Amino acid sequence: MIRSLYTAASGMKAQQFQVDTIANNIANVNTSGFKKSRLSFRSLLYQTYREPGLPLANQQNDVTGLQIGSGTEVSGSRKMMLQGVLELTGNQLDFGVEGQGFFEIALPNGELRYTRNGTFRQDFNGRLVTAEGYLLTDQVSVPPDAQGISVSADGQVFAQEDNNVQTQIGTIRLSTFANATGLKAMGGNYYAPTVSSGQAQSQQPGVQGTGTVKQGYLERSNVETVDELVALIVAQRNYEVNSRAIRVSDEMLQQVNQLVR
Amino acid sequence: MNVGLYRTVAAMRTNQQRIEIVSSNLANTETTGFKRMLHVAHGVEGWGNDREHQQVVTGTRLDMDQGILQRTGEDLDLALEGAGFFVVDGPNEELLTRQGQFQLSQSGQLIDRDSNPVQWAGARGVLDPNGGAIKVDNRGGVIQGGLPVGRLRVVDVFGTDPIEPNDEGSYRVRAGAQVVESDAIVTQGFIERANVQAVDELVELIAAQRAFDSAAQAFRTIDQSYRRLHQ
Repeated sequence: MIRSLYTAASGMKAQQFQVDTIANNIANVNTSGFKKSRLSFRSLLYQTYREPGLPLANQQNDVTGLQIGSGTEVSGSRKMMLQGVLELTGNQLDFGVEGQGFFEIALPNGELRYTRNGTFRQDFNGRLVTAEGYLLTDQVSVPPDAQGISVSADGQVFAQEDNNVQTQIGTIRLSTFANATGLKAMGGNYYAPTVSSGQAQSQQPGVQGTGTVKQGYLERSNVETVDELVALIVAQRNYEVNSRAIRVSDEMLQQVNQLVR
Repeated sequence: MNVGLYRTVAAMRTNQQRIEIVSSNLANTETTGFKRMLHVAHGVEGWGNDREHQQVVTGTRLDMDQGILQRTGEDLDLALEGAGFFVVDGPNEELLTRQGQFQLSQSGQLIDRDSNPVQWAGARGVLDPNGGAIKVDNRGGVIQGGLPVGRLRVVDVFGTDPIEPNDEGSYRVRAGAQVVESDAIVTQGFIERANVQAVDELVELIAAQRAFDSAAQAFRTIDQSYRRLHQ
């Protein structure tokens, strides 16, 4: 009979998803380059019992119709691609991106992934790899006798040699997307392009909103713990009021059962 | 035949619908741009023309009150302040929405979350997906890289119950409604939260429950008096 039971249940389910998302955001508060997720909700079908403006008895017109909604659903999640704070680490292989761009990474099977996590290492050939050992697609090999490397804001990588000579050994390019919020999060801080995000546009850092590379910095997660905690409290309260609506509906059904004894 | 029995049933039905409306509002507290439904009870319908034979029926009305604006910082999150709607080209017809979380398609079109293109005032503006930052001013004017691209269409509707919510969280314009340009303020980097206040809805919930209980009690009393009559 009473649809408010299901309506309120849809609200409770939506809040569960909300808490799941918040929990994941909070868990990643220390993950370099992590971007927080936000859920968006939409209202479900409205059932129209009566159109407004219908004629009634007594030569009156009914000015109000009767439309009752049937709750809510999760319409999708979005990655909030806001800039995280760049934190100085001093490590010469830590790169932070200030702007929209992503580093392009090749998986061992040849697939491309994109990340904002600029924690790189060198493999046995001196090539720049991620913590998991995946190669940066703009292959940069650091010569074994280099004293160190330096990276300019526009992505040019120089090796410092003994005699204070700097040789360019490569360029790190950044990839941008038409709609970065449409990227699919693949775990491990990697993103894959989707139809919604559009294809990656590999560009020189510093041009057209790509952003600049900052050596010795890491981008912190853009999760604000305070915001998440507030959202968590709100989600819990919403869960409670929805459960309250279920209880009231239940008590009404109970009343109906007691009508005829 | 005593009509009281039927009238108590009508009162119970009305209060049940009231609870259904409240539940739907409560379920949507986190839905961006959601507008709550108000319950309107009025005494029409019935068997006769006089007031004694009227019974209560439930109606609904959209409460278009402004929701709180919440900052997100995303360039394409646009919220409206004041009466008005963005217009999108739905699959079958024009749809109105206050849910301004837009995205950019690969071809540089501004689309909503269901990939419906957003309407512009005048020529449809095309943005460069790889271009510079997009700025939107208070009048809905869109600027990319310092160059004006166009202005988003923001409208308002007049008439008795001019709009009808559909199942995608947007609104259809009812026949006979008047659509005019709106002077609502467009705020970039914000979303409009649902205008649902948990307190109001809880009070309504309790009131409806008690009214339902009273009607049920009246039903039982009338029922018992019949029973005594038959004995």
